[in-house]
Amino acid sequence: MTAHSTSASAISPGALLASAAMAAKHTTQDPTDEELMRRYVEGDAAAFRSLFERYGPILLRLTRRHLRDEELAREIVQQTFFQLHRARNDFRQDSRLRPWVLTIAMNLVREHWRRQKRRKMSELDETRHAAPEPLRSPMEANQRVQQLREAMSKLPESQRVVVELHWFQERPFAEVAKLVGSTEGAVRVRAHRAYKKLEEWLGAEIRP
Amino acid sequence: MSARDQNAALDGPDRDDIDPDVAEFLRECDQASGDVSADDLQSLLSSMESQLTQSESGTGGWLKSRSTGTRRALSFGSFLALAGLALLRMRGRGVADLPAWAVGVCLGSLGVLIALSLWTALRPLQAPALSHGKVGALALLSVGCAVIVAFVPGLAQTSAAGAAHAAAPCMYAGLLFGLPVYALARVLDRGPRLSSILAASAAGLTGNFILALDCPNHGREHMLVGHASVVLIFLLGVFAVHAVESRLRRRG
Repeated sequence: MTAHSTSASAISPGALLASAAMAAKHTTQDPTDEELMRRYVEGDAAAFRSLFERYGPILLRLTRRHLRDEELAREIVQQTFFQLHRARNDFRQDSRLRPWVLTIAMNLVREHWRRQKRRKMSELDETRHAAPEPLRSPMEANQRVQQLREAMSKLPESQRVVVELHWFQERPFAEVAKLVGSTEGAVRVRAHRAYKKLEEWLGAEIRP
Repeated sequence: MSARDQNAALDGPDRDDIDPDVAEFLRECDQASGDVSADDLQSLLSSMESQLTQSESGTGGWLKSRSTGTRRALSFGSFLALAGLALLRMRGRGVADLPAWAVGVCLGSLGVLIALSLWTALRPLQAPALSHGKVGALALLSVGCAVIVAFVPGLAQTSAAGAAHAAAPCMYAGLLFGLPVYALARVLDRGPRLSSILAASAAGLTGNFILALDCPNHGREHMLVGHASVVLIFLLGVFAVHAVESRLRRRG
């Protein structure tokens, strides 16, 4: 961190929230993500804060969707930025930042699921009892979200990642393929199967 | 799957093609996950900033933050330095009387696998995650290569019974030579612990490579017990550490 950066306490919560709300749709006057990353690599800590304000909410929503534990979701967001910080010297001028950040976050989520899967083999689903309810929505909406999360968690990991990137992050298939290290055709097939399964599993809830 | 479904699968669904009710579910889920307060962000950022500053205070943190190209070069450099050192000290007495093609096959295949293991272990964080299958295949290939070297005609010889008696010093030397490569690869690694298996493979193969250069005993049993076992010991050691860690985490 450089000395010329402003301290974290100098940013008011209101200003942070406003920046977060603008995260996905910053205007043309704002520096691009790549520009901010370039500045951060050069040592501008304020650029890191701007990146955090843009990507923090996106990542927190992503991790909350995949993990039923608010604390864990926050921890993975922090780890993602920590990893981004460590990998900053790998960032090339012609790279795009968004796929970078999403891949790091999805890799961390995947790593968590792997560990969880191993744990479940020896201890029967202890996490379901321990997982706190992170959402504060009305009960019915909450139930529907829980149903979707149940259904999502039943999807194979490879399909779940594709749904996250294709639906929630609105990435085109070509980019999803790059992010998961597969071919576009294979990713399309995975997406098709995943949405079919969701339709089948959620069908009973949607059309009783 | 019907022919229609097969075609749809190959094209991949557009967002508009998805069942409207499922799409509604997905949208609700997205909205429900969207409640991110300013306090949430502020507390996340504050607790992280001090960690970021601390993370590069030591040599390990500094090394981890080097670019992937530099980290890979450093780790492969450690192998080359050790091999060079062993070559200078022992003058390649292990390969002096062997046919050039056999030496090329042996050292070439070990060297390629070392480079591949280190390359894969020290991958960039933004690359797709390593799969267990790939890591397992590479580890098996490493053990397989070390074993096959002991059966290459012209490189290994059938030895008399009891020829494995001098295997222990070679094994210790191999483990000793592999350790720095393993340690450096772990220090340079930023990713998940799966890559420690690849670091162990590279370390075991480094031990093998140096023993192939320096050890004049080409008895098959000796090469199996004294040389090839180095890779296996490194891998078993890492698996044992993983198992203990998992158990401790479960208890914790």
